[in-house]
Amino acid sequence: MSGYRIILLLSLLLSACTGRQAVPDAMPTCLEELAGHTVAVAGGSSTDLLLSQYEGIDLMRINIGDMPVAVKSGRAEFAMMQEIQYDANQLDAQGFRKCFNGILKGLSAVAFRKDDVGICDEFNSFLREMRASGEYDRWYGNWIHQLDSMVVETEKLPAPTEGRKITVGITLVFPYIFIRNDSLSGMEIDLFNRFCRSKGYCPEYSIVQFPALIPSLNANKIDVILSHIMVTPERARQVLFSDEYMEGSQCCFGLNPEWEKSARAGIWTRTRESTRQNLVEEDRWKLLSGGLAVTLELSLLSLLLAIVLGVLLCYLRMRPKAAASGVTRIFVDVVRGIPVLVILMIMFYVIFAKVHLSGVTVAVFSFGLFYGACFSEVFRTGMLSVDRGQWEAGAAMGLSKMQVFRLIAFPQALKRIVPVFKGDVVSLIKNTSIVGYVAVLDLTSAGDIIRTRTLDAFFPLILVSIIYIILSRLSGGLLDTLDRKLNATK
Amino acid sequence: MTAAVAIYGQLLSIRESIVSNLLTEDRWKMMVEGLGVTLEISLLSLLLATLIGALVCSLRMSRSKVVSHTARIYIELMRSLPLLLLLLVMFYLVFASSGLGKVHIAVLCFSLYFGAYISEIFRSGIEGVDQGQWEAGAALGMGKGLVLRKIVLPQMLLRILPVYKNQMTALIKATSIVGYVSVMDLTKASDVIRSRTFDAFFPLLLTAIVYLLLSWLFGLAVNALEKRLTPKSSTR
Repeated sequence: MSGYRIILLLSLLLSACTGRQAVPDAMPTCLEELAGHTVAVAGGSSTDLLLSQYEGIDLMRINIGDMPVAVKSGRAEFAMMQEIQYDANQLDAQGFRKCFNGILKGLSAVAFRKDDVGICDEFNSFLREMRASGEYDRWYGNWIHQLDSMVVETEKLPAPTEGRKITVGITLVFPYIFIRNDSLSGMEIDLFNRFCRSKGYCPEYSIVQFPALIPSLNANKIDVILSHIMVTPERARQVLFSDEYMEGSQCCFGLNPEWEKSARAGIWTRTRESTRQNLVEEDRWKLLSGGLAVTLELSLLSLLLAIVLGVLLCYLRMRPKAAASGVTRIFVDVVRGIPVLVILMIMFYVIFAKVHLSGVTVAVFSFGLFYGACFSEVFRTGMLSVDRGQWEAGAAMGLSKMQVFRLIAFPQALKRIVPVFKGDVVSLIKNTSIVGYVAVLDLTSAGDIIRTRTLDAFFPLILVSIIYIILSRLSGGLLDTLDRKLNATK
Repeated sequence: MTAAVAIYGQLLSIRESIVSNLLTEDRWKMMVEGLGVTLEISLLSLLLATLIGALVCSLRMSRSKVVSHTARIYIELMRSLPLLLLLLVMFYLVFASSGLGKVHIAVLCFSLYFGAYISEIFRSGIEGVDQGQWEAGAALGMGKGLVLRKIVLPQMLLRILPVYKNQMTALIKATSIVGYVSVMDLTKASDVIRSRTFDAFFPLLLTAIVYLLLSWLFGLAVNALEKRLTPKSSTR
């Protein structure tokens, strides 16, 4: 069966969906009028807390980048984001409109650990110097009014590479922090790089999901939070805020009832335009290829770890000693009874919370553990399927236990293991797609980032799907070849 | 004495965890509702996936080349796409502008995905029954449907139950990813609590235990079914 047919079917399936959208009759003008509507907010943000207190608002907690797509597709009727984040040039042209703004006026600051008073003072003195020299006004004004030229300027002044190391937890939020040309850019990145240059720090940026920022800070995983975080009393109890450097407020937006769609271009022009926007512009293809590399790395390392662990567990499980096999059995059953996603979160937020390990390493441990438990059962059934008589016959011929295993039992077991093993390997590769949950930039989350920047759901999702189809088929094909080779040597 | 104090301190901190993670702001309600959503999605998907599996299996085994080929393409497609990606495609593309609720889209997604796996399980079960059984049935003057119902299905069911159980447990666990499209299931509920209380340990542990119980209970139910299906005279 050829892959192109699958792709054909996929596109047929998708061409069936049309672009109908539910446009609200009237735009709300204040928070009270949101009652009875679905409103998208950033999970765990101050808006989330505020709107939770209103009766009758159906909250949808998603990433800020997903909001336009959610509103456009009618999943949410309205969405709330920072006023400055509402990129009017891009969003108004796509049929969105701000309904009202000025909600939750607040100040944002950088957050440190409670006991890191020294570095907090350094940051505050840097801010004071910046304000006194007028550099602050230039920074603020330029970023607000000439975003594009500032982005280019930031790229010319990269983060310092020498000095005291400092790990900075960030979330990708346009226009404060975003990825362009495969490197970090944005208003706050610019500010923090200036701080590091002036005080002799070497920043290492690490992407963290917004709700995980404060726990990560208090678990010593990161040293600073730089994510346009608003100063609130609840948060101030957990962290040490620097002086505020920016004022902001939330706005609410929805679909513009008066907006009329321009005539659709031909399919060819649209495809070309999509390709340009999603891949070529800002070198976005590099995000995808980087994500693919992470997915491959993650899959291969997890697979290796899982095989080693699987063999070990299988060995322990088949020991005649009741204690060893009993404990292993419970362990395997427990691990297999919990969703991989929950294992991943436990590993990330609990077990390795205090250790500074990269997200990829933690993910490898999680997948290795889960699939190791699965593999151990596959190996065990394979071994059990070899008739006992084979072992006895081997022993009767004077072979040692090890020799019987190597020469007689294992080759027979392998033939039975490979077909089941193949399914599990493919499932491992596919399952790595959930690591976006702990902010690892794999293929799926790379597609997600592109999707949320270009507001085009179709192209990135389909492209990523096609890459996964190719990956699964390649790995499946490889194991099929192995299977055939094994069966040929009968 | 010091040990007693330490244990007392531990108990106090556990109590505090329970209070802040479950009792404050009635957070336990969030967990219970999340569990309800997880159960709803799991049960509905379980039923629908079994139906889809049976349907696709019959299509896949159809004598018409076109039909069996189409079914095969469908199965291959589902087996090579990550579930999360399928969910995103369903949510943001296929059913983006339909009036379907989030939970229903999730149910459809899981059913389509696991239906493909189930159909292959059914097929291997039917093919695992010896050809001679069909022939013997035909020789006794039974129709094809009758042979399937009276002879092949009972044998096949016993054979596929363990694999079926595994796949369905996988389904229950896989529902944990729906938080990605902001469905408030058990995992997402614990995630929301975590982001409020800044305590990762307690909510995650609780979630893990609940999933364990779910998988275990489901396993027990299938085992009971297996026992009932096993013929009494059988010496297996």
